[in-house]
Amino acid sequence: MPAPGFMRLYDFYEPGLEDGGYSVQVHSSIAATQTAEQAVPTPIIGMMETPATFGGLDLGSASTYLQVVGPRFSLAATDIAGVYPPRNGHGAFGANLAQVVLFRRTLPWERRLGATIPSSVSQPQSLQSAPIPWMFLLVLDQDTEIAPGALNASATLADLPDGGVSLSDTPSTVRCGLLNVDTALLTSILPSLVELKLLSHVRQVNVDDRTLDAGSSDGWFSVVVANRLPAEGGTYRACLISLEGPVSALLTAAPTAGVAPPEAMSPPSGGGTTPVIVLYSWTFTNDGTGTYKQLMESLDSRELGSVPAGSPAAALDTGHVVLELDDRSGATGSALYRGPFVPTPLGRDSLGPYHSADQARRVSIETSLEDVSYAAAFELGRLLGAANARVAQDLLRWRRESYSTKLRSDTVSDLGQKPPSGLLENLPTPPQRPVPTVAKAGILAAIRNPRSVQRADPSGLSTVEGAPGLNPAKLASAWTALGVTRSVAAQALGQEVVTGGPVIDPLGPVEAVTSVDDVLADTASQEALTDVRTSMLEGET
Amino acid sequence: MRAPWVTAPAAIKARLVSPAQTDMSDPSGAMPPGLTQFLTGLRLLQGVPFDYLVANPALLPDESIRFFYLDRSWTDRLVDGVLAVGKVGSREQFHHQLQHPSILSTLDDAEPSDRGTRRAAVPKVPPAGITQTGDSETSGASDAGSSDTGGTVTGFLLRSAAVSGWPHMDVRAFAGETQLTTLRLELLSSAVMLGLFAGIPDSVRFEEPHHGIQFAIASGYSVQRSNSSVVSIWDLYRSLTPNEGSAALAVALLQAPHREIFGDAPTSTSTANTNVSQLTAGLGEVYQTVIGDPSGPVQEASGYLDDLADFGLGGEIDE
Repeated sequence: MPAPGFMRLYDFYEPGLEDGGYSVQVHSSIAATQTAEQAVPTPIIGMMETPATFGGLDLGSASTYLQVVGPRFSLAATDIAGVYPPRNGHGAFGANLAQVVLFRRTLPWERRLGATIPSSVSQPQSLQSAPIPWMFLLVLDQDTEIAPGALNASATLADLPDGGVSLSDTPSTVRCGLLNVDTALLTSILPSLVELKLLSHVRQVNVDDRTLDAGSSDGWFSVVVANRLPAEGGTYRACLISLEGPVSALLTAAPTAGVAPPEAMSPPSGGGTTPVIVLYSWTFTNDGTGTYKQLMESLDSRELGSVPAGSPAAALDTGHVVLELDDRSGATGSALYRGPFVPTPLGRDSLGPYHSADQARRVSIETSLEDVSYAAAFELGRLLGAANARVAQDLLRWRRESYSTKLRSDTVSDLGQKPPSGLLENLPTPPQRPVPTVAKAGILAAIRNPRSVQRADPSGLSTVEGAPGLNPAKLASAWTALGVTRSVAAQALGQEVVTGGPVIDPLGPVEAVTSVDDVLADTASQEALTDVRTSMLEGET
Repeated sequence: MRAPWVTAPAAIKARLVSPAQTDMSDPSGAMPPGLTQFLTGLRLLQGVPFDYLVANPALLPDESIRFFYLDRSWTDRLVDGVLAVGKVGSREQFHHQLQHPSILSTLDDAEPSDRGTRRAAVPKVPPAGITQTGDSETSGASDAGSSDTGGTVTGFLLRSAAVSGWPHMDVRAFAGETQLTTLRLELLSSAVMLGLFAGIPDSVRFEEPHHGIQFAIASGYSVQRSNSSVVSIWDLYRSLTPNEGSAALAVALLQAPHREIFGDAPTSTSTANTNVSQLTAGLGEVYQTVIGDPSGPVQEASGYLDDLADFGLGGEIDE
């Protein structure tokens, strides 16, 4: 991009591909040549050496067709970067050639006209290589040269009579703008093909010092210039026309020399009309004081808040405006308001963030009116923030992340510190509920093998009897079998040995119960059960 | 029931005693970038209705330009209002209260680059068949000027038919010789333009858009034999630039853009050459022509636009 204040101009910008149909064919093949470093001798005796070159593998080809289509019969308004004279402008444009500036730098050269310049026509070297643009800016007097109804903005191609270049490759329902122009007039205005090359060029400018929508371009523009000057006081229509169609028959190749401008001469007319395809058009009037220079020089320039002498004061000297205010109780009053634009530099409020609009209300001492500027700004910010869902979500997310991070760091730091005193000492002990061990063993045995419970065993003695080493009769027989008699044992122990006799079950054998009456009659077992239950509840071992 | 370890009043009290929040430089405590961009734009009054900016239409009548300072407190209240969304309790208030200095400094730092960010976000449609060049180049002009963030912001409001006729006019503010950063330059409507600059300028210059510089032919041209209003381009070409291309003819015919300067006149450091005829003859030597080669510049209109304005051909001084 050129530096600010600089501009570069080019004769033309050739497009990479002109409009039209193309066929693309891709053919792939592989060939390889082995270099001396890569050659490895084969160790296997009898095998031929690998060839030094690889002949080539043909991978076949593929072809496709593509069509490059650019604007041809109409231009979108977004393609136009600017026009001069301005649309509906009124000013002294009599010494300026009209021009239209386009955003695309290749647009005037994207289509190739069927006409060519024969070699008999002499052109300077620099012009010979330039392609011929397919657009031309035609300036016509709106009142005298355009008949009413001659400009049809929504015609179709079907309205265009065949002639000259055939438009048969396009469906005839395509919309375009058509203008019927007097043939003789058109012939007198149209430049020769050589001059046509001189009327289009490309500019590159620096776009950083202008508004953002202009800055959306990359600084490249193409310009098409008219060749006709508007007369004083007339309204003119400038039309960007396409040179395809019937108008191409009127183009001549060789330029003709001009003459000194005579006194006012009426333009030629007669001989029928020729339709031309209009891509874009606008009107302007060569009258009045509407040039840029005149407009900018006549501006009234002063600081905001001050008014010209003689007109009623719109604001106080501080820039405040008195507005009507409906307060909360419904009464009307006056208040002062000043926007963000002030005539004198102000300091920045350092009272920190405000949390409500009411905090930002002020009272003006001189006028005793309330100053609602900052409160209004606060409420406006709140409304704008709340209306934007994304902003509200971002705010909440920011706060939530902030809190969770802070909470995490707080917890970590707290854990590193000693817990408050008295916490551990006051922890209550959990309650202890002891369970009788023997009864527990019987219950466990019953749970493990229900079939082994032959009879009720309230005292648990049968379990003990069944435990190995605790049955006296078996013990005695075991010792006798080992040759340990009573006398030997007495001699070893040093005292009289008493062997227990069979254990007498105080409850006696229990018959199998077959009915509820039997259970209810067995009071001894019930008492024993009650005893066990009481002991369990009271925690006795 | 035993006594709880932490209670809500104790937590609030702890926060009051040690109110530190997660620092905004920490990634988990930083403002989301969408929020930062929204607030930076809001500080430059993006989205603010026009009635809030100019309360009385008489303050900005037709065909007028008004210069002003920007009230930083007003824009700070805008930000405070946005941060009041969702503020339901003391926790959010503490968060805002303690992050306020960091928020202000973050937004102050983001202000100068907001325009560049928005420009980069505007999609560019590349022309048919041509690869984009120069996208990575940054402009030197917008980086020039004061880098003191949070400083005074000044600006102008222009209401005129010139804005509707020439919407892409070139606006630059200068303090002495250095150009001030343009913080915002936009059309608020088809006839009202708003500009904001970082710093206090000595002069503000408005120029016709450079891509729309037009051609002027005053006298001495010849016309077509067939139609007296049609200029004979061929004769013009042969008399001005006989062996060049269309770009050379354009340079010869270019009318210097009008530059309107509000404020002090610039002190021109180039050697003053007030002889107009010498200047126009010198135009022939200013440029070199490279025919039809888009890779190289054909014409460098090397600053002659500035020179012409300084010599009074195009520039007017209005105070």
